[in-house]
Amino acid sequence: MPKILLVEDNEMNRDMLGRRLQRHGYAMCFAADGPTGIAMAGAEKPDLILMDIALGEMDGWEATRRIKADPATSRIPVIALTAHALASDRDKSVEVGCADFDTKPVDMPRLLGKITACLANGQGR
Amino acid sequence: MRPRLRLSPSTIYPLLDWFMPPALKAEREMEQPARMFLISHIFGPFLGHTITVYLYVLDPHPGYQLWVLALSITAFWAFPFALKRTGAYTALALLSVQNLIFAVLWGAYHYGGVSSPFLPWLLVVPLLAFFYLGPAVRPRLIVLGMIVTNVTLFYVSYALGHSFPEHVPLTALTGIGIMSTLCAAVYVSMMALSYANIVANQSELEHEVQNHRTTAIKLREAKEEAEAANRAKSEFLAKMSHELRTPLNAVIGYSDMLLEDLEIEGGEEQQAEDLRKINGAGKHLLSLITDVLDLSKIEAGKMELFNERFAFGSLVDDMVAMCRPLCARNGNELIVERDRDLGTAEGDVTKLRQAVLNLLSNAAKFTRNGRVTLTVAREPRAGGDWIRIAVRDTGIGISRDNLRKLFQNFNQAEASTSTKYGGTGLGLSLTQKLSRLMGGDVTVESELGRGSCFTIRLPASLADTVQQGAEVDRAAESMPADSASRQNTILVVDDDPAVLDLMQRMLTKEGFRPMLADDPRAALGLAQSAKPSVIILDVLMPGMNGWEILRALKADRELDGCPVVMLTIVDDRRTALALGAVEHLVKPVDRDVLMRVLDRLCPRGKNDQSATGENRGSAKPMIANA
Repeated sequence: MPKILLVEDNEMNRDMLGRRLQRHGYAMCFAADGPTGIAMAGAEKPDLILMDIALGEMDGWEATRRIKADPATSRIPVIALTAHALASDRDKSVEVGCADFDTKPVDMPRLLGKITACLANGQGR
Repeated sequence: MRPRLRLSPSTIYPLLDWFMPPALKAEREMEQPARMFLISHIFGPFLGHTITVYLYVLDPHPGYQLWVLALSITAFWAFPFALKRTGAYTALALLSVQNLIFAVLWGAYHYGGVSSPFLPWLLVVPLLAFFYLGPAVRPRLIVLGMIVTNVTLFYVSYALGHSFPEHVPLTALTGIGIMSTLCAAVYVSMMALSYANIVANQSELEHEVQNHRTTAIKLREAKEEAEAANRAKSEFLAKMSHELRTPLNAVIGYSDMLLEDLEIEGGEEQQAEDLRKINGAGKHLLSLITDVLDLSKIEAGKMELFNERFAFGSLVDDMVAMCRPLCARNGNELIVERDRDLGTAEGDVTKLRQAVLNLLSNAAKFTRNGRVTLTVAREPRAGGDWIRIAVRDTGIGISRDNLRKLFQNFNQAEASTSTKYGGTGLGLSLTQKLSRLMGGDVTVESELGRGSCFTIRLPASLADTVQQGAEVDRAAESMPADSASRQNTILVVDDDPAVLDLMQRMLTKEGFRPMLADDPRAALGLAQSAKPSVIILDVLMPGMNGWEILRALKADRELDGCPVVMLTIVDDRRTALALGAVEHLVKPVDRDVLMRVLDRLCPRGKNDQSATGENRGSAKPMIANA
């Protein structure tokens, strides 16, 4: 069962997305802020990270950058979740090393497609 | 406004104007003294010659002294003609003053010496001279010098001859002496009155200017406050919208989850139906909040464009796919007319899609069992291709009255519309604002009961043409027929058809595009729609005077940059300038003066630009007789 780390500061969003993903057969672990997310990425070794960008003090870009900078976690694919589908967000997500990005509120089938694609790529490596 | 100088009846103005050189008329501060100069020189000699006639009657065989005096007085009549011919006002005024001093002293020398009844007239000299010559220092000094020199000569002549000549016994001069002294007293009183009048009027004007200034400051403050309030409102809305979205996402998300549960577990249909309603309402609310957020962002100037290259054709396919179910819901047929190859475009896809989808969903919403046609094309224009996206429907249409307020926020054509069709009326406003943000605009044609057609036009390559596009579009909006010559449009507002006719001919001849309005109340609307290069305003008009229009123009954010020239029959330059006019002209309008002013306000380059290809005289006037 693939394990997904969801870094999201809003409790309801965390709960909803987590439960829906569990229902689709993923094991979930959660972090409510950037630093916890980085720590969890190292401790739990998830197969994929869903990273909310609008986090508290440390934003998702910075957290992703640190995860990618650590050799222990750099191979974990990260999907960024942003509020708007902006070209600048897409550029930024590429710049910090995200595998993909999607918009909130999430469109479940689309997000599932992206997750599947990322996991398939990850296994191929 | 009452005429400042009550001494001069308006009936003699045409006569004075005939003598007045145009250059002098253009020099506002010298115009009034010059009028005074002309009046004095036309009527003064009549007064003066009563004295020569009286002296002639006293002594029917006079010596050269009377003829010299008569000649000197008659010479005043030559001054208006000299002024018309040479225009050298200051020199002529000084010469006239010298002639006056000479006449007074010559008369005094030969008729009574220091006891002469003509001597009191010497007092008139500085008064009159300073009136003629205005506030300049040099001419005043020259006048003083002249008086001193002449009086010295007068004394030297007396000293050399040891006495004054006595052509007529002093006692014979008693009658005319009394008359002359009285006349001098009356004349000086009149001058003093006139001065007092001017001083009073000036302080009144000063007061008025002060009032206008205070009003202008208050207006500016009010405007700034309003703008600050508007910004605060936009920021508040943006923040609120963001705060509202979070719980709303939970409503939508959890109802989604419950629906999924029900689908998997197969629960009650009624429950699923209710959940779908909650979910649908949540999504609707979310889209409204998103619209409000976008509008407030645009209004706060915080909406950014994220331009990228995209395949225009696939964007169209996308939009059609999204809109097809919406059209089908009301039994509408969706027809797509498009060029096969639409190529690539550069711009903000999300916002373009949003702008077009608003139009498509409106068309689908307000049409039942009809047709929605989406037409997409590229239009080559100078400076790059433009995109034209038209959405035509066969729906309920919009009345002429409602078309005007169509693009306002929260404004649906009829209050009853929202109850029947739903929506908040934000969509069109947003579409318009987005289109403008992207350097284009949206236009609408509609007929009640027949349907509507909304057309978005914008540059295909946004990145480099945003600025240019916005300007071009504004020009096109105001004068679609011939946008190039818009630079020259001069709006003339005057209730007098003769003036309008004259202005039309003058302006057309010079290659401007006159736009005439005989109803002052229509002026503001015309100015807003035509955005003329210059506005020429008459002051005295029935219904609404020129000052009120000027004030309204200056209070309008879009129009306050448009130069306004005031046209009056009275000299009110200071009021005009204080209220924000750039220039002030007195009727009747002198062609040269008007053209000098207009040339300054619309530099030649712009005029010539409009005239390329055809001669400048062919511009046709637009007449708006509201």
